[in-house]
Amino acid sequence: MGRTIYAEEPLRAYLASLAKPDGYVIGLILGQSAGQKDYVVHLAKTPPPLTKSVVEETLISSTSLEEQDTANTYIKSVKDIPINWVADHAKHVTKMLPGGMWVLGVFIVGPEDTLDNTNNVQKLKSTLNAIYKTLSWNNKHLCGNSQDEKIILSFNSITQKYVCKYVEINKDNILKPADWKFQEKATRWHQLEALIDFDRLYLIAADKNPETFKKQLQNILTSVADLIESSLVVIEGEVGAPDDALETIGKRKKNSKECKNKKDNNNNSLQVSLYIPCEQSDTNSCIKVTSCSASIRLIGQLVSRTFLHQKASIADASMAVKQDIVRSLASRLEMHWDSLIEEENGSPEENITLHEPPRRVLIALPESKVTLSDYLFPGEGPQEALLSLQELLDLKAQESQVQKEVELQADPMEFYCQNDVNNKSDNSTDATKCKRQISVYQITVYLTGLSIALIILILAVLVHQLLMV
Amino acid sequence: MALQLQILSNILQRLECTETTATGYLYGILHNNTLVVLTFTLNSDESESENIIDYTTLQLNLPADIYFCGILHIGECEEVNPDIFKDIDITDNPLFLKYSQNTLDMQAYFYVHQKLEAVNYFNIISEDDLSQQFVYIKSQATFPLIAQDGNILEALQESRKNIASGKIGIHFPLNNVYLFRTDESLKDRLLKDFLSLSKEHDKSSTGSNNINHIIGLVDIIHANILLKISSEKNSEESIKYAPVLQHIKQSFDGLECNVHINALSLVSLNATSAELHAIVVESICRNIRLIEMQQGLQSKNIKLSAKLPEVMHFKPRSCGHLFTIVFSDGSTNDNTMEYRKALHKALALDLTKPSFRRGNAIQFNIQANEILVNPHQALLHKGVAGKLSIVDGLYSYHHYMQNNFDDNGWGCAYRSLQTIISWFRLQGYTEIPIPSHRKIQQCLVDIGDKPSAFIGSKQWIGSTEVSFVLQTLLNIDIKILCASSGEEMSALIPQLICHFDTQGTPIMIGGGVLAHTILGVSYDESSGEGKFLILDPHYTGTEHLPTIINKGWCGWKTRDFWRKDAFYNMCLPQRPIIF
Repeated sequence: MGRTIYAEEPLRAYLASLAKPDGYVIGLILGQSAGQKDYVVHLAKTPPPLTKSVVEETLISSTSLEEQDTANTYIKSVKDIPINWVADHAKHVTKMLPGGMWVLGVFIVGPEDTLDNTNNVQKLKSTLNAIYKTLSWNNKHLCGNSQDEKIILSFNSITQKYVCKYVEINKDNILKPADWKFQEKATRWHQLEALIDFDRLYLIAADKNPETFKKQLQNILTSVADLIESSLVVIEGEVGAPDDALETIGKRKKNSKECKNKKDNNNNSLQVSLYIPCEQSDTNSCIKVTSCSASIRLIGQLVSRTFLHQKASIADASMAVKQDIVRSLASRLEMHWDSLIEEENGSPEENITLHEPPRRVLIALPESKVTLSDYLFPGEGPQEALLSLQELLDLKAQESQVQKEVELQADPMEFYCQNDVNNKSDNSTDATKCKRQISVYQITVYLTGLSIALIILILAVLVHQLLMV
Repeated sequence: MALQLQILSNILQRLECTETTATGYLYGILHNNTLVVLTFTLNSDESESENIIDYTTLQLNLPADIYFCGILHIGECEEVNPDIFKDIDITDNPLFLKYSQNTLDMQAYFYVHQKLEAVNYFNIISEDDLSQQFVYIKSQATFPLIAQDGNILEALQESRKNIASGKIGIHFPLNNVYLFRTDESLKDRLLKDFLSLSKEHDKSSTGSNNINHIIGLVDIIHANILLKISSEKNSEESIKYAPVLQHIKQSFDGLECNVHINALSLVSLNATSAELHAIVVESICRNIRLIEMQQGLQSKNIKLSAKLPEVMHFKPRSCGHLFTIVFSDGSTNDNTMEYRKALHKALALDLTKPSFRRGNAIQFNIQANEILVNPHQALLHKGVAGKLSIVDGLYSYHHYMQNNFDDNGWGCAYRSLQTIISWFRLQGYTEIPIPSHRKIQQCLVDIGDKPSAFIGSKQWIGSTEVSFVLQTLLNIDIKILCASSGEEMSALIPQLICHFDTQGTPIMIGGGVLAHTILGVSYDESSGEGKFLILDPHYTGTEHLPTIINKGWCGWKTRDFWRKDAFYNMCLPQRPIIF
């Protein structure tokens, strides 16, 4: 039995709209895979290389020069597909997808039946291989490769006919037929939400050849990924058997909610909790002392929202939630270390630095409740998210569609003022200064409040007196 | 409805041994409008030992949900000061117990509306009654602790606060159920249904091991703890901002270690799941508090000690309940003596038997096919009449072929000796490991009893050699008792009764070519018949209790068991008077 891929009808129109009389458009197929079935949520054309865009800065390093030379708004022939550019696109798009969703493959729109030509097929296969490699090599925490099977959809812009095939990347690399279905009715999605609290201290050992800050962050990421991987996912307070359908929990919840209060307005999302087992695996209770040069505390709340197709099992859901958390943390940390201009380790003096990786915002896809993520640095606004949405996903959205309050920005004052017991001597002046500022502020507020109250009192007395007279 | 009162019978027994006048504190569980008083502590007159034990924090050593619940007066004391009732948190109506040594009479009062109201009726319950109503739960967790510059205490406090906020899940491997605080559907389910305990719990006496773990006669349900790393929607307590990294550059000593939580709760079978969750949380907090307190003492002495303090559980038999102590790393029976002495006094335990030595600690992690402890418990009252005088405490059953060592046909006396040494170990008198056959032979060579060729041989030993080894390895006294024939054994029953009632150690008996262990005697005055409880070291099978009981490898034997033509020597180890 081959694969069946379900896509919603509007996506057909999208493919048709990309048609060029003398050229090709390549793009990514995004969605969720469930055994022999795939559910497509979105198709995103790969932006043309070398245009003024937000992508440019981050992509420029990894694209080779010759590909940049072929800068055009579209591709003249299949052999001109900028493979690495498409692979990079896949990597950036993966960061925006919720856990449990991946780049399922590529589509190609052109004025012919592209897959009839073996050279074309070869080129597209190489593209898929490149995507696969990019997402596994050094980027495993983005969780971009959930399976080895990738899809190719070829859309003939003249006949409007389409052919779908799939290949097993690490196996035979042979094209096999797949059944692509455009359907009228929308796929139903279960929505899962989790709020993950981080508060962990990581020690940085004093070393003659210290690791770079980027490497330290990577180590933290690996450690968090392991922790999340080991955790137990509890959906609506239930553990459930891995093979049970997620639907059973969803239904039960709906019923109990209906009896209790109908005014409940949260859009039927399932609340997910994460628990880490504390097994007695390590019986060693020795205290290990390491001489350290720094510490990094990871603290804050990561908001996770995942979507599972209607037939998903509890195991699928559990994996998707874990992927979402790790992918989201990996995405923002990577964006953060890429944004660091100078290597922090250069300055030897003792200090406190607050690193604020970009925070997650969510944008709902049109005509679906599935949300994609973008990450905003402090100071950036929702328009930045719209820009990357346009560039990477070929989506035009309104600023109002950006849910920008899912995660909040930290107050840096809190961290610099923190009266750390360990460096009282070093930071006491800073700390007291901050405290003084706060107290001055408080007094001002207090006095303002008091004077307003006083004015009201005087007014009241006056009015009263006037009335009496 | 008026508060009901139940008092554990062990309290009365302990009270009988106390001084004529004393004051103390009572500890108990309040559940279902019933106050079950489980234990008491005595105030000490000596001011110096008051530093060692703080009577109000002593409840940390007790399983959760046992709380300080009242005041005890023995004999004629000054009138009770109502201020002290203010420290009692679990009930608005604290208990006041008055006990008189002369009349052995106990009077109970509840402090209601600032007046003492006499309790007309209260129940004295046995340990068995207690286990029908309550069950012990042992919660285990290991989590990493990271601290800067020796601030282990702070890190411990931090994790305790986190757990106290209820952010844990509990997994019961027994029937693979999870309990979370937010479980609304399970909130009102009773513990006995939740863990499907009710019926099996009653009839577990002959070792259906998958239900209960009977070790040292404590039924325990195991639980594993999970730490919650997520928040609920709209919860107030959590941090609201997106993850950030606070990078502090400074040199310091980083400390990493694993905290091992091993916490006990005593929970009513009728407790709801929500109550159960809260009690387990409390038990873990008590555990961490004890670790904190011990670590606090520890770090005063040495700046960085190599290990975190270690949690141990004890069950002093006269108390009838479990007791948790956290010993510092590297503590020995010698350097804990002061503390143990104070503890004995506080709990009104005499100073003639060890109760809180390391060896007294309950071993919970007994695996399948491990050496059995006290197999005779399964048949204690079966087929015997009259007064029983039985070995006092725990021993393990050593017999042929154990530890992959083939001693079939010659090692019976060695095995009987091992059983005796196991008794001294489990009673806390010694920490030496159970000696192998070779070690035993080495010992006999070392003291000059045997030539060096004896080591590694398959030669038998008899009760004299067993005595020598016990004297040498344990530094104890031995009494030897002889019977010129098997028939004479009956005549020795009074002496054996005396041995078991005063010493309570297992006896090794050698006669002809066979050695056995005597665990007790019964004597029926009306018929004049006596029986011997025998543990047979010649058993070669696996550690399977039903086989051992049914085939009589451990069982009551009549005097015909002894051969008429054999001469018997008995080795009666004497219990040292130490604590």
